[in-house]
Amino acid sequence: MCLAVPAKVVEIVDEENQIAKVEIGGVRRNISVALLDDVRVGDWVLVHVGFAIQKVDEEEAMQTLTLLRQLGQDIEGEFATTQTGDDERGYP
Amino acid sequence: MRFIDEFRDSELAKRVVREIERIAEGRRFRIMEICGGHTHTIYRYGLHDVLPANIELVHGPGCPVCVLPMGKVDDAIAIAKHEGVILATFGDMMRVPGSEGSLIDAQADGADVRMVYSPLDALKLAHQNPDRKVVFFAIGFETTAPSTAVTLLHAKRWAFATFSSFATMSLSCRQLRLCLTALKLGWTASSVPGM
Repeated sequence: MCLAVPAKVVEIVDEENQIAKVEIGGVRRNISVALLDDVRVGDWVLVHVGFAIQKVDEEEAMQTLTLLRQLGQDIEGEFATTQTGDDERGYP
Repeated sequence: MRFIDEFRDSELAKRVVREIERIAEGRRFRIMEICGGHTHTIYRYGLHDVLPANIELVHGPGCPVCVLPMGKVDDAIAIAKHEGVILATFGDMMRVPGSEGSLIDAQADGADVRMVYSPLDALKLAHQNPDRKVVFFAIGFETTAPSTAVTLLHAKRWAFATFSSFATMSLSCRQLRLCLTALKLGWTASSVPGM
C-alpha cells in the first residue's frame, strides 16, 4: 500500500469523473486523477493506491539525474587532481 | 522502465556513495526514515550496508499498518462477520493480528473479506454486489487518506448507498514534530513519506 510508481497517462477515459488510463511497465489500468489539476495524455504521474498523487516533472527528474551524475564527476575530478598534481597541469 | 532504470545505475550509485562518504567524513549523522516503505527500500537494496558507519539510519514510527491499534483490527473483523457485509481492504492489512486472529483468519472462518489495490476497487465491489453492504477498511497517513475521501465523494455522486468506509486513518505530522522537538531523540535528519 505504501508504494507509489511512475506511470504514463495514455488516455483520459472519463473527463467528468477524472478517470485516466495509464501504462505502468507495459500494464494498462484505469486510475483516478481527481487529486491533481490538468492531467493530460503524455504526462508522467506517481500512482498510489489507484490514484495519481503527483505529476512527475520530466525536467525535474532529469535535473536530479544530472545533479547525481555531477556529484560523481566532481569526485572523479578531485581524484584526478590528487593523482596528477598541480605541477603536471602546468599551474604556476 | 523510465524514471526507474536511470535511478538504479549502480556505477552512478557507487559514485554518489563515495561523495556521501566524503561529505560526511568526521561528523556523525542519525537519519530517521518515517515510513515503513523507506525501511523496506533501504533493506531491499542494501543501502544500510553501503553507507559509512558514521551515518546511522534510525527506524521511525513506521507505516499506518504498524501503528494501527489492535482493537481496530478486532472492529474490522466484527464488521466483516456481519451478515451481508463485504469488507474490503489493502493487502497489507490481511495478516495483521487482532486480539483473536487476523482478517485472513476471519476469511477462513467464512467472513467475506476482499483484498483490493485501491479504494476505487472497493467501490467497484459495491457496484457489482448491489444486495451487499461493502465496507472499505481505510487506513493510511496523509498520502493515502485523500484516495479514500475521493472514493467516498464518488460513492455519494453515484448514489452507492451500500458503500461505506471504516476510517482509521492517522496523521503523522504531529507525531513527527513531537519526535523532533519535545522528545529530543537526537537525530540529524529525516526522510519523509511522499518524497
